[in-house]
Amino acid sequence: MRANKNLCQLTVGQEAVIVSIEGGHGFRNRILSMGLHPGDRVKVVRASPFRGPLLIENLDQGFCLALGRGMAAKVLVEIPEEGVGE
Amino acid sequence: MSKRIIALVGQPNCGKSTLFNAVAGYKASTGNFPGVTVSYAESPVTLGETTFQLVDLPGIYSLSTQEPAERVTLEYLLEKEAHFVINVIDATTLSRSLELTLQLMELELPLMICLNMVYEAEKKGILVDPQTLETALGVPVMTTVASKGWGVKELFAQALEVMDKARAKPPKYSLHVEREVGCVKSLITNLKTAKNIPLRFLALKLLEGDEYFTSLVRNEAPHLIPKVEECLNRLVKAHGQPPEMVISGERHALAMHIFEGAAKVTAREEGTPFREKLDAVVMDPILGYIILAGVFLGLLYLTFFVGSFLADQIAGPFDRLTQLFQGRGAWSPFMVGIIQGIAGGVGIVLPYLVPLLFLLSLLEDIGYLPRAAFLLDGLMHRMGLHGKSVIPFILGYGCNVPSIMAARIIESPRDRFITLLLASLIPCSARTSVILGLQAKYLGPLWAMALYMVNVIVLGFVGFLLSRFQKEASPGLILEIPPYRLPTLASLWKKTWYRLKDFAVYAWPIILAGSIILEALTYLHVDKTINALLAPLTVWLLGLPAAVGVTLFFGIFRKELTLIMLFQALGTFNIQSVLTHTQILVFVVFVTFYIPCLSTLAVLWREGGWKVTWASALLNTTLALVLAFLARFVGMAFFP
Repeated sequence: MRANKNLCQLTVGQEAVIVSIEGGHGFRNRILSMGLHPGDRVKVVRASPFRGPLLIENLDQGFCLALGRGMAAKVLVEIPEEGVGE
Repeated sequence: MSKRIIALVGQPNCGKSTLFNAVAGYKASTGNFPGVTVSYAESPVTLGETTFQLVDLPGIYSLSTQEPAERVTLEYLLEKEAHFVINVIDATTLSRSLELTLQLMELELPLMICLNMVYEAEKKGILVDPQTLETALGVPVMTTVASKGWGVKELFAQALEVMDKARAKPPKYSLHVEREVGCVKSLITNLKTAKNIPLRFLALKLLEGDEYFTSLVRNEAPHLIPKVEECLNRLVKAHGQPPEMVISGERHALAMHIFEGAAKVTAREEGTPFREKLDAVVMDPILGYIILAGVFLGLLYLTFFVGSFLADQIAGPFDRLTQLFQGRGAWSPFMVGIIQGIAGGVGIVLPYLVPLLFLLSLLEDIGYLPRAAFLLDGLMHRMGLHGKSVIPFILGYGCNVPSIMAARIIESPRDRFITLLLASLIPCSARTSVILGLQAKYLGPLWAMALYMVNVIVLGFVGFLLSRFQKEASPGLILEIPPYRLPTLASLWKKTWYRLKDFAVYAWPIILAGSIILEALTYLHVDKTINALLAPLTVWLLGLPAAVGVTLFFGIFRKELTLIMLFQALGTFNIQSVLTHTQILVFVVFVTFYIPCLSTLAVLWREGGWKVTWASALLNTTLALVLAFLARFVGMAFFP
């Protein structure tokens, strides 16, 4: 079973694969150039308090980005099969 | 022959500025967070018998035209001012970095790769074979560890040798992309716009839907736009994705392909890596804030203890020297002025400046600031700002000038306006020397800490109010969180020295001149006029002695002057004998908040225009008056 979610809906520590990036031309461009692409495996490492940003690790390339929640909600992901139901 | 120009291009935090400083001496600002170089630094470099000009361009993630740093770099490269480009790559993020490399290759410039931080990559389990990379890209590749200076000389020697031969060939993408590139190329081949821009690069930018380049073509030949859009739509239809995703996806795939061919990735070592362990503590929802407060207070306490110890050692001898020259004929004002000017720099300001700048450099280079930004982003949003503003704010404790320049990393004009305004309220190292040298020394360090806390609360309150006036929502944060790096003592000292030099070169002459002028004014009894003019403010409103008026006037030039001249104007190094505790408190509060110094105002004007400059001067002065007036009552309550 596969679930379609956005980065914001993941729990801390959960891994997922990016499916697509919503939002406008400029926003997509920035996310892509900072190294998040469809097909990349990512993990939510931690969440900042006060509805602050999420710390996203790109597992394929090994770097971390702090991403505001509004932006994270525009990054759609799917959870690999073995990850569901944990 | 005119001097050859070599430009360094790379992604943020890849070590460009470190590389630049390794050969050019300390001239570019570095730090372990993205976006340190906001405008570019350049310097002549001599290697053997050849001298060339080295340019450190701002770090960018891609060659788009969205962000100021990207535009600066792209324009520089398109104007073909550089004879040679060195693309600096952080080997730990090789596959992402290669996407920028591919874009640079599309510009068809003479190009070479500097693979930096190779040891860090090895530690992460990424082994790169430079030979394979060289073959795959078709441009020379050299490896370096710029932070230790390894491979740096060889890099530039190689660059000088190949600079006329190495020219990048644009990468080829999949068939249907190439077909549309060909189609767009044939459309735009005769345009004037295309004269200065490589045809293929321009065609790709149009296919990506880049607004800047599309508008260039629209201005020259509006009839071509629908035809370009036809190509673009065919591409979008074939891929089922927006245009910029198609091209970027192609680059990404090619970069991954090259990366997989040239790098061997071994499994990471067992156990949790150091970074994650430390992050778990430093970025913890509770511990993180305690550490943040601890770091902040520790910074100030340590600065105060080291500073006051040093100041005590130096003050005595200068005091005796001054007494030696006092009241000895017509030239004595000048001698006293010179001695006190030097003493003011060495004995009062420098002791606090050195530890503060050193500790700030340490925080910067370790990589703590982006983590502070991560923690504070949520809170900053309540103030209508976002976490990126934290970086200019923290830099502001060193000096407001670089902090105002660092506000360039904030994209939205609205956020930048508020950040600029608030940044000028941060007590910089000059104001810190006043706070520590007077308030902490005579009233106790807790009083100084309390003042910093009041300052933070005022910042939050003003930010909250300002964001009500500007309703537009603040966009979220995107910030790379770099790995921790342990800076060498030498590089920390160099950085501290680089900032101290600014004090020695710009501030000291002003302080010296100021001291001499003050002595001369006293000698001619002009200071009394200034003091009398300022008396309504100083005496009536704030309850200070009239003699401090002249120090506040000079403080507009440099904030340190208020402290140095206070000793001079009151004629003693023992302030307690002439000022009450309440008066010290009121004086320090006023100096902390009142009108930013001239250099800050000048850089505010340049970065944000007259509106923000006036707003800042007005806001700071109003706050200073209100808070200093309130401080009178606080003083009365605590020091009866």
